Amino acid sequence: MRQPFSVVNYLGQLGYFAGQPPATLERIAETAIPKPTEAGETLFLEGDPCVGLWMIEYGRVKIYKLNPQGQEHILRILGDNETFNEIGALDGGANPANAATLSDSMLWVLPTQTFRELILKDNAFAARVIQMLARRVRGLVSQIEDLTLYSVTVRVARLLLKQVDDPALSGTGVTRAALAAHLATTPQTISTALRELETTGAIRFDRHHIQIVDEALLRSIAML
Amino acid sequence: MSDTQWLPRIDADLCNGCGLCITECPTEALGWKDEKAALVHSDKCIYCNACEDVCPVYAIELPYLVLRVNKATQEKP
Ligand code: SF4
Ligand code: SF4
Repeated sequence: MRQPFSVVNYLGQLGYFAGQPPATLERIAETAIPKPTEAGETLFLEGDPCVGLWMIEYGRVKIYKLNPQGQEHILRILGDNETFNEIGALDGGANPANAATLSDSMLWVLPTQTFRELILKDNAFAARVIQMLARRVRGLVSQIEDLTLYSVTVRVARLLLKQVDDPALSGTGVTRAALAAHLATTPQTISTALRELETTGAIRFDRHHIQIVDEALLRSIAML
Repeated sequence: MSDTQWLPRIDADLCNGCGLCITECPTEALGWKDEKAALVHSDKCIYCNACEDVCPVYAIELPYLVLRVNKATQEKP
């Protein structure tokens, strides 16, 4: 049987509210607005002002974007005990994406106002919010690094294909430093990209040879 | 093209003599020459890239030749 849901207990488990005395949690919980919803209901639309932090007591929620053709692209699917729209709740800005339920759900909204007041009144809470945001930023930075590596891998694949068709380009041989200079990155990133290409089986290192073993694959990695 | 072309190149002007590459080389192909790192046993070099990876000042470069390997399954003429 499902345990009876307690907003107070739930809040206590969230990173932000850790260490809050029960009386404070009680007061915060009182501001939470219950939102029982049916499957397929739209919770909010991208661009609308954010009403607060959403909490899922039970149910399934999809966070999605629509492309200009109206096609749906699901970013995340969330389930029991998860939260969403923290950032909007903190800055009261616009929702960055759309949200709708996939099943009958019991949701709660902790209003933006509650967050605002807590941040102003409670230094420890504000510090935890900063920590949470810092962690997010770190996550984003590593995502950007992944994307950068991705684009370097694509460009290294292109360069290799170009080199092999034009031996004059090779001259005294390609070095990682030369590739790095050419692609405005570091030799370490080139090494990682070359290793990635080797792992896919598109190229192979044999002493001073970079052998293109699967040209079709290398071409597809190069997006050619 | 001579065969010596396909060996690690060490730029003695850049080398600061830290010795990391010599320690890192698995085959003892690298050694000292006038307080700089040098490829003293080129026949031992297995082209593993360890020296290039470890050099803090990018004084070492390994040149590569890019080529196709002809697979029997390759469809192109
Ligand atoms: S490539 Fe490897 S074996 Fe050759 S000199 Fe450098 S570390 Fe030694
Ligand atoms: S690692 Fe680089 S700087 Fe250090 S000794 Fe070797 S070549 Fe010189």
